[in-house]
Amino acid sequence: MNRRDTLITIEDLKQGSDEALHTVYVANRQKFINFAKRYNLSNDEVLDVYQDAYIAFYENVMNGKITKFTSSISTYIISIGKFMIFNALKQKKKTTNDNYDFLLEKNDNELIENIEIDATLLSQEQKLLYEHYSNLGKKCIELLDLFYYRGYSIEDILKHTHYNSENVIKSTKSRCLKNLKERIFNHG
Amino acid sequence: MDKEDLLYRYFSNTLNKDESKVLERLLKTDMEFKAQFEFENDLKRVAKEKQRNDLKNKLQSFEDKLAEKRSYTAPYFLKIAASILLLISTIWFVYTNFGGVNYDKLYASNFETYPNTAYSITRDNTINSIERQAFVAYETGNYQLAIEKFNQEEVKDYFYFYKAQSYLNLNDFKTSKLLFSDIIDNDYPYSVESKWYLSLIAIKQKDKNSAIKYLEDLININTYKVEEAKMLLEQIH
Repeated sequence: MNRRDTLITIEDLKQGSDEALHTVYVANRQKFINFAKRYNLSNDEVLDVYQDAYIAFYENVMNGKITKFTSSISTYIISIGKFMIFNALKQKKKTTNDNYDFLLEKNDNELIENIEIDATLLSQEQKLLYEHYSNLGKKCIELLDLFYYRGYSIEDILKHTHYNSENVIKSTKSRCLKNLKERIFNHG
Repeated sequence: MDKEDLLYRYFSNTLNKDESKVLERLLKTDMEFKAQFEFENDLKRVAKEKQRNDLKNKLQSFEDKLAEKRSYTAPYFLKIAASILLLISTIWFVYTNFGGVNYDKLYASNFETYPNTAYSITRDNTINSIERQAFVAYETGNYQLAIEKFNQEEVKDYFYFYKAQSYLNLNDFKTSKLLFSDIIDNDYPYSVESKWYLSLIAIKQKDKNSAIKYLEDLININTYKVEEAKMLLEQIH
């Protein structure tokens, strides 16, 4: 395990600190680049996959699928990265070798089988929703994010934010959803 | 348990087996419920995408910083020379960007007080509530009194906008800017209109970048002052 990220715990990452995020990013970057050299990808493509793999790793820490590190962080990111390269190559048919299974070894499969790697693209309706959601006020985005993305209950939100009561949270959430629907309805 | 509670429990992963069955049944039989379920499910996906994009931008900024570090570090005297050059270019930029536009005139020709569309004052309205007094003061241009009355009454979401308007009419740009920003942050009524007034305040304060940001937002939202925003954007560019 890299010396710099051995000190970073799951809790540090879960707290969402930029410092932890940055430390882990920098500590594993070169290792990933070295690993990805063999796949005939451009530098930009490698960095793109590294960032996507890093995000998938981070999401799984945040959603509780990774609760303790059974391998080093770099092993997680590289296994996820392999899976992503495997899919990307399959789609692009960039190499002449049609058997991509060699990319994923047994250890990788074991490591990633319990985690979630969501690579689906947004549907047209979701794209429209995304546009209007992104234009909501920051307090609405913050509240909807806590509820729908982080899966916080109303009690959790009360504990972690400045809201005074559960009723205020519920009514604010309803108002935000109503606003969002109205914006979609009015602007198609 | 009502349908809203059922959805709430589904999205906070706290449904028990019986409730799951009720949910499944409703999804098959109640189209309105199904539509709401799908809306919230899409919202869950969209919230994830937003987080993902924000995170990707953050990682890209780390990457940019790494690239900066790797780039050539200039000797001290070159840094001084570069600073002087930057200062000269900034002066030139400010002069060419702000020198050619008469910001006060643009503000004056675009600013109009927003009419009272929130509270109906009728002649036979005998209940002289504080809210009524506030809006009477607002409509008659007595903005100081309007603010005092708004502050005396229990706050309603739309008060913020009319208070911001009142401060703006008193040329208290700082307070009105804070109130308009708060309206946008909280999604209170008139949040789109607030962007228009924030763009005007930015113009008045010769803050070109903020003005551009608010005007572009208005054009994207496409509901209020769209043509005016396009024209204003052209004029300040």
